[in-house]
Amino acid sequence: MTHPEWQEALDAYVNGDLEAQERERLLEHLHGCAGCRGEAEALTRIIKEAALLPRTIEPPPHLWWRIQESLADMPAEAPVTPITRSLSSRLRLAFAGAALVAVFGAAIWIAPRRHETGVTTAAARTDSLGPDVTVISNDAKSQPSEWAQMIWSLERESLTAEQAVFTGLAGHVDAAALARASEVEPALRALDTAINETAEAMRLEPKNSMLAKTLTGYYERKLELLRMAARLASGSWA
Amino acid sequence: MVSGRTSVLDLDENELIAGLRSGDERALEALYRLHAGRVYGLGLRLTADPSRAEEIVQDVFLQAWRRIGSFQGRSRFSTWLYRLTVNRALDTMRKDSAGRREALEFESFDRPTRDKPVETTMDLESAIQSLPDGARVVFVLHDVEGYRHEEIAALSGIAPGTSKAQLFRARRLLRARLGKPNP
Repeated sequence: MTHPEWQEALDAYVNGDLEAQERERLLEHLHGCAGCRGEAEALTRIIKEAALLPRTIEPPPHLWWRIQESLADMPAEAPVTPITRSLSSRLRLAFAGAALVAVFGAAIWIAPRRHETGVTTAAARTDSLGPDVTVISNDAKSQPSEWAQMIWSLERESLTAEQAVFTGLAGHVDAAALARASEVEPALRALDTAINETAEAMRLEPKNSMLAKTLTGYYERKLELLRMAARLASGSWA
Repeated sequence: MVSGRTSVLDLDENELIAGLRSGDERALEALYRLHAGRVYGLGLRLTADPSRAEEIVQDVFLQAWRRIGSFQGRSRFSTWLYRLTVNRALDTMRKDSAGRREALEFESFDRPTRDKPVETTMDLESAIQSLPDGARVVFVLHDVEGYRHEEIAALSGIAPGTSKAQLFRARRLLRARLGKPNP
């Protein structure tokens, strides 16, 4: 029999997330409780076995032929210039400045992102964002479309949120707060990749509303994460 | 361009990617031979449906062919490809859920679901396939593939806390389905 009151601690324990004091208490309990001990062992075994599962499963042999048939109907696009952008040196310096040097950990996890992320730009520029920040436009001579303006607006919001992260980091040299904030970083990287890919797809299919919706969703998630990082960095959310 | 005199199997991945960028179908085939097993395995484990997994493999490699221009080389090609796979699998599952007029059970970890009846014992692979969608996706991405909760959250649109809760739920369901050796 297991004890429900120990379940949360057991989950954290097998995950390696239990703090030392709690861990000692749990181990003491496990010493005298065969049910919970068995549960812990079984969960640990599942985790180990899952990690050892073969990553590769051979697909059916006919699959490549199906792909080849599809290729015949879908010639490759002309080579596409990779997406580049945006928050390059001027903005980065404006936001971070000397604070990043002082807050040693921050530069490691945020600065590299700034020139990795972004949306292809072509036309309209905005003085308020500086010359490095431009908005998506499929036609450099035309006005930005409605979706481009919407995405521009989201992009600006994300810049503001990133600024808040920097401000928070500049005000705190608390290593624990930095570590908490940096946990958001892998998810931000993933979102930036998704934003890049979707923006590139939109460049090829500018009237695809599904892509615009997807891109908007990615930006909204990015904004949530940045706000979370800002709170973590400023210490307002332990 | 992949040289006609060289077998694509002799080329390294960077050369194959260059071949792909120039529209060389043999480069795509070589990359397929290198990565299809992993893409299929990931698609199969995420969807628990072999025919869906086949569709995912097909779509992912066609996307790679069409959208190689968006691959900037900052991550490994395999990382980019597997992320396409996860995105494609999650999209498929969302569409399937919508077709059934059910939400993908990411948020429903605390209510009864369509879990299958507990069986005496199963192997781990079968037990994973029997998990509810939300729990299975998180378990596969976290415990099998090594993604972090924050990455899972970003990919699937759930909160990191929900991802953790789904993971614990998945492990307990697996533990029940794999049998209970303890007294």
